[in-house]
Amino acid sequence: MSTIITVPHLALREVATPIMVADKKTLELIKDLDATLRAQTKPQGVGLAAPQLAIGKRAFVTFLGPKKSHQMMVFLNPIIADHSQEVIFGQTPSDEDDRLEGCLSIPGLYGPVPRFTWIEVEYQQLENGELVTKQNRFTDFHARVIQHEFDHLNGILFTDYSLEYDLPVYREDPETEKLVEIDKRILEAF
Amino acid sequence: MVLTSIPKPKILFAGSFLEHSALILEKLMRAPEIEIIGVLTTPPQPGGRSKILIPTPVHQLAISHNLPVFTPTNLNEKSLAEIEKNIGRPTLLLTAGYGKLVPSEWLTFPQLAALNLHFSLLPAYRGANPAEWALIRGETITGVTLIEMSPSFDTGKMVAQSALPIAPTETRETLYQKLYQLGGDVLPAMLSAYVAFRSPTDLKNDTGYTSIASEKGITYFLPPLEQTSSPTPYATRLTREAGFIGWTALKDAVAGKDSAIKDLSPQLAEIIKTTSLELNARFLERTIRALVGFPGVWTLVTTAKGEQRLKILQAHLGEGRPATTKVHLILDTVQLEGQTITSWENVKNLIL
Repeated sequence: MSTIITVPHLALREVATPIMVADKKTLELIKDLDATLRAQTKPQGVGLAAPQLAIGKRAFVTFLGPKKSHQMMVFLNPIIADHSQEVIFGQTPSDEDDRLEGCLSIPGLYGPVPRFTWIEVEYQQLENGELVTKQNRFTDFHARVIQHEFDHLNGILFTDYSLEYDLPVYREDPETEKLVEIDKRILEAF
Repeated sequence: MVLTSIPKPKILFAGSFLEHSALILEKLMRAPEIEIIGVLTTPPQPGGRSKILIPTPVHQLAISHNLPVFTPTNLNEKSLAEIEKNIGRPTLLLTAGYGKLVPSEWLTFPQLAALNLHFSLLPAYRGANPAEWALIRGETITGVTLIEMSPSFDTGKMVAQSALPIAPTETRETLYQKLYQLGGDVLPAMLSAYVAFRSPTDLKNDTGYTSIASEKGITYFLPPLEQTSSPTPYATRLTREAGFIGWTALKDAVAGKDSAIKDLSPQLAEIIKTTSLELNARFLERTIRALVGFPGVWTLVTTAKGEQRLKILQAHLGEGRPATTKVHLILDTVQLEGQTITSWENVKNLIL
């Protein structure tokens, strides 16, 4: 298990390099991502990318599923092969409320982020000591989580969208649990 | 990425069943897990001698809490558009004693689902009068079931269920009181569990089977479970005529005899037939409890004024007499046509 690094940190801003071989180091990285994400409870983590452990490799995991039976899914060298034309702020196209994204590397801040409603992802997984290529279509919340983690591999943070598209960012008041809008100038330091 | 807290589900509540539906609304308004954003109820009906229009208790409660109230006569596109214009799309539509069948175009209006709280342990006692039917048929247990609404009454998939024992002296009024009380107590947890299940963070359907879990007296079926065929007859709406029982049958029950003459309302005759019950003191005592208030048990007796209606308001069972091992019916409170409520003793000598 490793410590998740937080902003500001240069490792969060670098473009990660591909994983070329299915060696012991790759296996260790996957195990580390798995253990670190599982241990993350308050707030509950649903995705973690290697750069968040200060490891500049193209790997991330997602951890979603029905209550108490979340499933870990590993993505190595992912490519977004295709995606919807439409972008949404909610979790499903029929969801009319904005749902907020948060990031384990940006504690306490939340904001709406436009994401594709569906994506077609080509990625690799480790199977019997080999890198095996897979392709899958993801929708709704899982598609959102993958896009968020994919951005980490290119040094992009969700707050970059807040600045680019002038979207609100909120801080959770630990006492009242209410969200308070923050001054976005602080995000430029990330 | 982290999981952000799921916003409180916004609920459009629909209920019209007297103070019972209002009790549920009151409990839901106090529940911190959910937010009531509007109320749907039947339009004010003329009541009392003056026939002034009286809003339902749900309507009155909603107004006193400044909640938007909608009283469409017809559930159509126009009345739906009116609701949407005022409060937007709710997360859930929840009905509890609303009485109208929600048309299929309305079922897709809420963002997540249209749910109904039914007052029986489904699939038993589908229909408009589940508590009355359970009482008449002598059930000792019933309950409430939260279902996803379907285009026909009470056949949707089950979400959660909670049971309630039926006391030997229960009337339809005390039973509905208890069932709605129970409903108000269990709904916040049931609704939260449903919303959490349906929230897009859950990759539902990947297991393919329903997990059944019980917690605090509630049994959850998630993903929602298809109902099997009903083990009981359909609890059809009882009409005003349904409470008729022939005087001979009542006299026989008072004497502790099974009545051979099946002189009673078609609905009661149907219950006896489908359940293979005897028309006797036990059946009649249960039926009087089951129908008190509405439609009420009544009979026709001959007095000096000719044939008159006699309402049976209260009765109880007596032990078997020495001559027979059968229990018998003892009439307590009655009301003769055009007279005030009185004890049976005051009336029995008027019957020829």
